[in-house]
This record gives sequence, C-alpha cells and structure tokens, in this order.
Amino acid sequence: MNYVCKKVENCFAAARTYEYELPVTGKELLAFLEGWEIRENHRFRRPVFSARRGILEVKGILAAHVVKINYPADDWEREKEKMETWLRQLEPGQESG
Amino acid sequence: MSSYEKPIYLNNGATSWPKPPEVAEAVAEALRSMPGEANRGGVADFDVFAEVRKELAELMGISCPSQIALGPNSTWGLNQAIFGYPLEPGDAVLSTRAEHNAVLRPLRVLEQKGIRVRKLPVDAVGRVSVSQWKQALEAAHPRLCILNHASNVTGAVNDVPALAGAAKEAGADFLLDVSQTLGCIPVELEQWKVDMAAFTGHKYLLGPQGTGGIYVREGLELTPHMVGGTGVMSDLKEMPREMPLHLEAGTGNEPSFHGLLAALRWRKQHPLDQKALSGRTRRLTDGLVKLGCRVILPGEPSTPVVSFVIPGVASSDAADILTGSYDIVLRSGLHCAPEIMEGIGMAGGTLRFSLSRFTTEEEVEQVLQAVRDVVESSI
Repeated sequence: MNYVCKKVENCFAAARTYEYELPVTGKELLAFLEGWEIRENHRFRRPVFSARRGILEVKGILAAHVVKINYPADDWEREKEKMETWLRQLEPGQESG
Repeated sequence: MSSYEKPIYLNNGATSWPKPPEVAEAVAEALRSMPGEANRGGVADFDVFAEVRKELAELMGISCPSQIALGPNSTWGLNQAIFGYPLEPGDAVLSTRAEHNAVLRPLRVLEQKGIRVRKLPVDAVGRVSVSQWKQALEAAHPRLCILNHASNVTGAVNDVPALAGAAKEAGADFLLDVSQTLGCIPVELEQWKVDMAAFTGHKYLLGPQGTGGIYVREGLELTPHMVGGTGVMSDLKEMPREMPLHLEAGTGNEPSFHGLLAALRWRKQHPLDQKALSGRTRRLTDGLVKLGCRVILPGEPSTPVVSFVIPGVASSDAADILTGSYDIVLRSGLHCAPEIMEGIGMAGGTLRFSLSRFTTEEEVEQVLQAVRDVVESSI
C-alpha cells in the first residue's frame, strides 16, 4: 500500500518517531499485524490501539488513517526500511483474519 | 489548518489562541494597505511600531517608549541582550536552571567564550529562593543576572522586585524574561529596577507570532547583535546609536505589529479577569490531584500553567491520547526548559496545560474527564 510518512519531532534529539498516513484505518491495519502483541482501548472517545513486536511499536486511533511508529534508537534506519518495505507490499483488502 | 473537530486549546504558554477577532482583521488590513515605511515619518505618517512602543511602555511601566526595540520574539530580544551586553572573558553571569533554552543556549555560547556562568537551582516548584539568590550574588560577583519572571514549565512567579533589587545592590545589571507574564500579571520594570526585559507578543498579549522585543534602560548601551539597514541615517557606516534604531536592523514585521497593536488596545478595553482565570486554573489543578496525578503546585503567585504527570503513563502516550482521542491541545516533554526538570523531580518531562482568559469552566471539566479516562485506563 502507498503511504505518506513524516517525522514527528519532540523534545528529544534521539527520538525516532514517524507518522504514516495509510489508505486503511488503524483497525484495518491490525488485521495485517499477525504475531504482534495488540491492545485496543475502547474507553476513550476515539478508541485507540497499540501493537508491539519486539522493540517496534505502532499506535494510533482505531478509526483514523494515521498511525505512529516508534523506532528503536539502535539501528533505527534499518528497522524503518524494513517496516516501510513491509507496508509497501501490503494490499488493502487482503488482510488476514 | 487544524484537523481537530472542536479543540480545547490549552497550549497558551506556547502561543495563545484564540485571538480577539480585531487582531486578524488588523493584520489583513495591513497586508491590503500600502506599507508605511516609505514615508519615513512626518506628521501624517502612522507609525505602527511607535504606537506599539507607546502601548507596551504603558503596560510594562516604562517612561521612555523609544527604549523598546521591536523584533520577532523574546528569543531575539534575549539574544540582543545577552550577546550585546558588554561582557569580557572572566566576567560572571548569574542565572537559574529554570530558564528557557532561549537563555540557556546563549549562556552556553558565553561559557565557550570564557564567561563564567552560574546557574542557580530552583525549588521543587520552579521558584528562585531570594536568600539563595543573595548568597549566589555574593559568591559569584556577577556583572549580569538573567531570570524568568515566571517558569514556563510550572507557572511559578518569581519575586522580581526582591531579586532585581538584590542584583542592583550587588552591582549587577538585571535582565528579565517576561515571556510568560506580560499580559497575564502586572509588570513594572522601572519600579522594579529592571535594566532589560525581553518580551513576546504571541502569548498572553494575544498578538500574532513574529512580534516581540527587548526593553533596555536609558544609559545602558548594547552592541547590536544584528546590524544592517535602518531605513534612515543610511549615510552612517555603523548602526545609529539612538534607540530603538540601534537594535532594529532590517524591515520590521509591519502586518504582525498591526495585529499586536490591535491586541494591546483590545486588552485595554477588555481587562483580564484574573480572579476567574485563577479559579479555573485552581479547579483544573485540584481535579488532577484528586485523580491521582502528580501535579506541580506552585501556589500564588503563578500563571495559568499546570504541569503534571500521570503515574504509570508516559507523558508522550498520555498526550497522544488526550489530543488524538479528545482534541485537547497541550504540550508534553521538556518545554524547552530541560534543566528545571531535575529540580522539580520530573526528569522525563511533564504534561502541560496552559489556560487563557478564553478557557471555559466547561472545557476544564471536559479535560478532567478525559484525564480520568487515561488514569483509569490500562493502555
């Protein structure tokens, strides 16, 4: 799938957080994340999710098209490239489960 | 443009919003009109910068408006003051660990040039102790003291009359950062014996971004940190010595200063209800404490800033939820004041709500309900 990616700046120079605007919602993305530790919280006005695999974390609003990914400080460029390669090969409508 | 549905804007310590409608109208009208600069004075000329200076002088307790140089923000003013002040290697500067990076980073440059910089720790709410300040003045013999009027992290207002008075008694000049207070609480620069003060228009003055400046008392001459054209006295090889031209190189931001002028005049017609604003700030603070948040409690006097953490929830995660799920605009992290965090026991940063005169009681209750959801959530 195609996406738009933009770095999220914060107070820490070492932060490696990026936002991705996707053609699918957060809820739809979760269906692709087989093997990830997924948590949803429906208590909030707009329910949220987080998905974790190892040191990678994806989070966002379930109904929104923008998700946030925190990359680890070490080797973040390689992790980002891997994640983006994986995102690009996804096809909306082909979700598992 | 904002993507929020109906935002609750609590980031006024960074930039105030909303502004009075007159501010946007004044900026737009200035952009539609012919620039004023070409006229270079005269009876018929409306000099927006001079009018702003007059309003600011009245607000800050200054008798000579021309001692105010206008620029884009407080950072510009602080840089003019810190780098323009006549310091020599070996001289000392006294400041605090509660300062904004607009002070800390220039101080770092001074240190690299051989200036001795002493940064006093602050108490657990970010306030400077007058007795410790006096001890530091005795020990360091500074030529220049630099202090914020109120912490942008905790809202704690410093006892400037006592601190500036002590600095003067010790023979030091005193530079005050009123970024967080001007337009919010009274400022009386001459009465307090303040030598220089940096200010910004885009916070509690309700003006546009890109407006600010520096006041310099008569008799104190700074070396201009930036030099260039002044539109007048172009036959001089150096910057004119008279204020404010001495510090004002380059074309000014005329449209934004029209906006600031409108804001300053609007404020006079609509005085701030300080009691009501303090009441809403206190309600928010008390509510957060009851929810189990760790809240900085600066007591009075303070600005409408509430800094806190939610135990067990990373501030960045809490901010994401409050903004993404509830359209509450706030700030999380170090707030450009990294050295205060250790002193207030929040090394990882805080969540910060900063209210304005436009924040309603209903909004405060909505915010408390949203924080309650975060506190009671497991995510």
